[in-house]
Amino acid sequence: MRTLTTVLLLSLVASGAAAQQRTERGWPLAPDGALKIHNYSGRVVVTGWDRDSVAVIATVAKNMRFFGGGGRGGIKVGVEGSPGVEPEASTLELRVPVGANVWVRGAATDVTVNGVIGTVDVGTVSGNVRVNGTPRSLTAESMTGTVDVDASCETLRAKTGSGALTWRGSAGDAQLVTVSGLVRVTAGPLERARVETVSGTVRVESALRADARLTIETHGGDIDLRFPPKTPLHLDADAASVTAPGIATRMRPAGGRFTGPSTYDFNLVKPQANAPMVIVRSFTGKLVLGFP
Amino acid sequence: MTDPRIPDIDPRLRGRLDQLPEEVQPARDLWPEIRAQLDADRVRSLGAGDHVSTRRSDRARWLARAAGLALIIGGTATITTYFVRETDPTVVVIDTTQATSAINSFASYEQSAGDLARALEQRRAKLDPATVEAIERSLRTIDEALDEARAALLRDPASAQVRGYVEAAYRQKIDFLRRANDVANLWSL
Repeated sequence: MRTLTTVLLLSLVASGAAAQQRTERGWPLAPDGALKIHNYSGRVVVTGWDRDSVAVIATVAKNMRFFGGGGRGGIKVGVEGSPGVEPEASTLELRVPVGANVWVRGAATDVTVNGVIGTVDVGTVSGNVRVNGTPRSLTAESMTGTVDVDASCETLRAKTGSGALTWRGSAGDAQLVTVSGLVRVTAGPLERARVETVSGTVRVESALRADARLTIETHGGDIDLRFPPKTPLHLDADAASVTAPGIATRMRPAGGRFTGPSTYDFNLVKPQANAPMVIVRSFTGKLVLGFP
Repeated sequence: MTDPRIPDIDPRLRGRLDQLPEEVQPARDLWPEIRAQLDADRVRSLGAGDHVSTRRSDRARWLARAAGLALIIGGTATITTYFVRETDPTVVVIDTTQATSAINSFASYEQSAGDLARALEQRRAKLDPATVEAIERSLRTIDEALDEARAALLRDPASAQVRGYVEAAYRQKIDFLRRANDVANLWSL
């Protein structure tokens, strides 16, 4: 009985594999060349390597077709189906020059980018995005999936709709936007960063540069800020309540006027000393600040 | 009693000023004239139409004028509302003209959001149902936030702080609609 089950399982696996076609292709690409990747459904994995060429392994569903081509300046690859045919999941695994400029679009597609130092621009609808490395500039978006960035870059733009948005790293200029997803920022040090949510909670546990400017704006999302002990800080905050060391929890009167932001200084050697600036605006969210 | 806001002046003049009444009734009441004008319109010649329809048209004209008057009165009046709570009595003054003006200042945002929403609606059929549902859920979240912020602005139209919250909600809505349109555009080709 056990043998029969094993045979049945193996045949199922074999038929699944047969339903997909594996293709391997390669093209030369300049070290800073551009690469456009389309895959409606499935997975895209891009990894930087020290060669001036692109290598692709495409595992494509039976009703889909792999395409690709271009020159040394730019290459376009992707998976496409026939009109009217429901697209099935396909996988594209690519090796690209480490300095390449990578652009990926997917719908129900998980996208992972590793070790690319050029610009990276990734957008998907319901898939999850994960980026590791030090891209010069990174744009990562998912409408309903998550965005997970473990990267330090000059500029970062990351957006989700309802999915969580996580960033570990630093950036000269970062902007994180979500509607209802949880935003988590760790590591740092942060320089110029802006976080916007509607109802999503914001948690920042990060170091700040001396000239840092961190702006957090939510409508209803709570804000939890944790900075290293003794971090000097100017805080300019308007929130439903503000809780921080050394100050009594300050609540905005319900139904009353918005009296405007309050300013607080923490861990300053001199009252007017230069220090990182943190600006918080939240219509109904609560702010908790700590230096654990 | 001397008014400290008035600088040093001749004591005789100050004495005269102090004797003036603090409240003065208007010399004449404007309402009878307004009413007479409205009545004059009402008794204008009937013309060729039947009596009932003319009465209806007069009535409609009267209602339109009354509504207009109410709008003017409502628009120029300052309504004072007291929100008194046990621990923190707060007086909130709502200036409806200012409130309307504050809301109207976001007309261009409203227009942009409306345009993007209509464009998305046209492409909606090309998106898969789960994505449409997720987009609508996020839009509901943004709209709830926008409604809350707008209501606060109506209560407190002079507040730059509240304006900022309304503006932020509109920015989020427009940005999200733009992204949704980009997605719909890309995958419906």
